[in-house]
Amino acid sequence: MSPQNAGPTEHGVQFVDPTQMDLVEEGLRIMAFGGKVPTGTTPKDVVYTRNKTTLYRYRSSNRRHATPILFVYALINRPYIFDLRPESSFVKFLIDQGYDVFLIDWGTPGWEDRNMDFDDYVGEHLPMCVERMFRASGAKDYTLFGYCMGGTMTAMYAALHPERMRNLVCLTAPFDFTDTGLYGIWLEDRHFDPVRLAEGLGNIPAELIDVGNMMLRPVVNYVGANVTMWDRLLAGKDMTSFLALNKWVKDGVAFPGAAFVQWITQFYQQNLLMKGEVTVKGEPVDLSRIAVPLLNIAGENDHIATPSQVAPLNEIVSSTDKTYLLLPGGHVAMLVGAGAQKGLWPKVLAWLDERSD
Amino acid sequence: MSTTPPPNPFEAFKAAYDQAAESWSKSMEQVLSSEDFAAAAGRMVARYADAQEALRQAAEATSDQLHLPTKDDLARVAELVLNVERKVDQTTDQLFEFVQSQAGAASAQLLTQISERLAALEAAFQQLARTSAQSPPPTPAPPAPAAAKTPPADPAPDSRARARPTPSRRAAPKE
Repeated sequence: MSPQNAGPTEHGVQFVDPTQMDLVEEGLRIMAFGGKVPTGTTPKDVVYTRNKTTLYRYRSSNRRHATPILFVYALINRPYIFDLRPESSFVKFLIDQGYDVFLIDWGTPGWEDRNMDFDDYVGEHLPMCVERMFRASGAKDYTLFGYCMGGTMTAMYAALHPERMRNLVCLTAPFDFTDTGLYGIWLEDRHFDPVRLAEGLGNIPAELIDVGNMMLRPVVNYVGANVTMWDRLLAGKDMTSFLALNKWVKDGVAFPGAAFVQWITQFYQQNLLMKGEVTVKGEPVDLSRIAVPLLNIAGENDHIATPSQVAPLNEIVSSTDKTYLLLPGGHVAMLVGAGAQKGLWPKVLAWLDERSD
Repeated sequence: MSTTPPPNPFEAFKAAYDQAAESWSKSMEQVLSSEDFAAAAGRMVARYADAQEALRQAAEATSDQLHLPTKDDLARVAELVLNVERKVDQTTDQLFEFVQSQAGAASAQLLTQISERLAALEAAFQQLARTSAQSPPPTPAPPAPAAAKTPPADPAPDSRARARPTPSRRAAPKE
């Protein structure tokens, strides 16, 4: 605010510089409707679709590696977090480094998808996407890269279908649900009944999932984020990155009802994955069967998938080549934050370069 | 009257937030991690689910009375479409495998044919070589007609190589 325009109002309080009223309007609009900036702009082709699932391909113009990377994100939120903005796009970074990149978008489930669970996603859609990736790329092997719940799903898949898998990378993916922090308290079976919720709602609305995530750190998420927004806006700083992330946070996807019930009961309430008792299409998922090179990454400040949930994967797998990285940052900032380009990205790249054709 | 502007409300709020955020967070965490909160939140979510289900059932009953398709009806149609999509996928896979196997078989057959023809050619060359070795040296060819030796008056340099027909052809009368 410029001092020459500052001055008390008739009530003795200065609210805002009149010349900045457009900024105030913009700020209120952001608070109400979220950020509106283009995201996911790296060119891509649709390789395959099945129900709401879409497999995309990002072609590298200077391809130097024969081993493609297949990204798998969570069933909730959108996978364009991998390609948020050109300056913060992990996908763009990798294709610039000569990798052929594929990405699975699970899409937005409809009422007809409320009975879909991990049998469908891990047991049917994921294998189909892998097969179609091979057909499109002509590759002989691939790197499977899962993020958040997508990391849990990729590890399950790797345990069941190690064929032609060269590497497995899991980014902030929970595996051990012994200590899940606030989630563990809220989701205890004596307090929370996921079956009742799914029967009532069909698919679990994104807004409800978002409230759960935001309530993990309510002061930072509800107040701090807005303070940051107003601070940047009124100071005339570039808002693009903030708006892109803000848009992504508010652009959630409903959780398919049956998958939600499975996720809460079998993972959060009973911790069956670490016990080898989760099944996909009737086959037990035994994580100790994972033998491919593994890169498992956790964030020091991650409240959604805490390091204590992430790290145990390295103890259970059979891989002789396995790396656990604990990096600064939170669940999302680690991938798209200001430090990602000097932190996570080059570390993943170096690891992949050593293990890819 | 003082010229110092009064404090900016946003700056004041930001300063208060920066100072108090940590203590606010700790206080909130104490509340959020309590059993009472978890139980209350669980009850609230359950009531919400019950209310939504009741609302949906009422909407379905109304739609039924009005002879309008319900959400379930539409979902059933969507499931039929998905079944068709699954069958298309299966057919695509089978076709792909068939084409791959046919392409593989065709390639193998082609390779066999090429090998056989190469072997035949090789045998023919060997036979020719043997025949050449056994036969007497050829007699010198008779001199070509003088006209045939005369080069064209002004041949185009680039056409010389390809426009070098055999003498007999060059001497052939035009019809």
